[in-house]
Amino acid sequence: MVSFIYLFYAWLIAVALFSLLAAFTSIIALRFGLSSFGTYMTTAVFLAVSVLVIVLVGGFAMTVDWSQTVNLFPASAPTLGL
Amino acid sequence: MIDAHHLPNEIPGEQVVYFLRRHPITISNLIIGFGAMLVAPFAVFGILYAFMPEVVRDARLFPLIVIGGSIFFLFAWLFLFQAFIDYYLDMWIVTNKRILDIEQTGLFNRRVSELRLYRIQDVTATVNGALHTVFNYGNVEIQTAGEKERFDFEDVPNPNQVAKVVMQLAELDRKEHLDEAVEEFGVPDKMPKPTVK
Repeated sequence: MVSFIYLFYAWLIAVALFSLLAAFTSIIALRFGLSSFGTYMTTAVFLAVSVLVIVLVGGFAMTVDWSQTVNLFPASAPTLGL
Repeated sequence: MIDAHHLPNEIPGEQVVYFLRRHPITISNLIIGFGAMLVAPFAVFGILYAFMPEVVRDARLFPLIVIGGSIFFLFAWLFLFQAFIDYYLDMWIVTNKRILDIEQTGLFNRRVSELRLYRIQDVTATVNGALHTVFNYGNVEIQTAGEKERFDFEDVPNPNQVAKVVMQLAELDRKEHLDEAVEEFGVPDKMPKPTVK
């Protein structure tokens, strides 16, 4: 049995890693890109979509009861019809 | 950032003639691939909702689906942007004085080469293949007298036009830098040789 809270921590670590890489990529795009509307626009769209997804999923995560446990494979097999 | 009006190591009187990148068609495969990856979490959710609604309604499984799907989506989105940056930051800037070749490889590798136009010896445009012909893009190979003997523009739009303009600009620049050009290539045949009386 795995506590749900560990899955939430795993998600947080993945989001932190994503944020770090996204920040590096955006800095490189703005640092070395041509000073033009296209550069600003593509970087802004990338960051806006990223923030939107993180905020939406984060908002959803607030509604989940993370104290429950799950047995990832055997318990889900009957539910999945396996 | 690279400012079109203030290029690095700007030469007095320099004006930008072309900003060149590979034709957008060259990254279409990449965009389609990553686009499919971005759609995949939504498609999986749709399939589960249609054929296994009990999984979607399960209070324990649904959070796992959302969290797993969001991570997959975010990293596919990041890799798509990185692939775009890899394409977008590769460019060739042609001015009336020189050519700048800027090549970005991955996130942290970047190479900038510069070629003065009067050093150009020969320019060749090649359009090979059906797709290249239909969308009018190809390579422009520039032979130089420098240490790096060839300078290639890869898959740029209108290669014939670009080659023609580069050759014309090189001719003009050679006239301005006659001393350097003579030192580089020797005295042209047409030039009258000094006579000794």
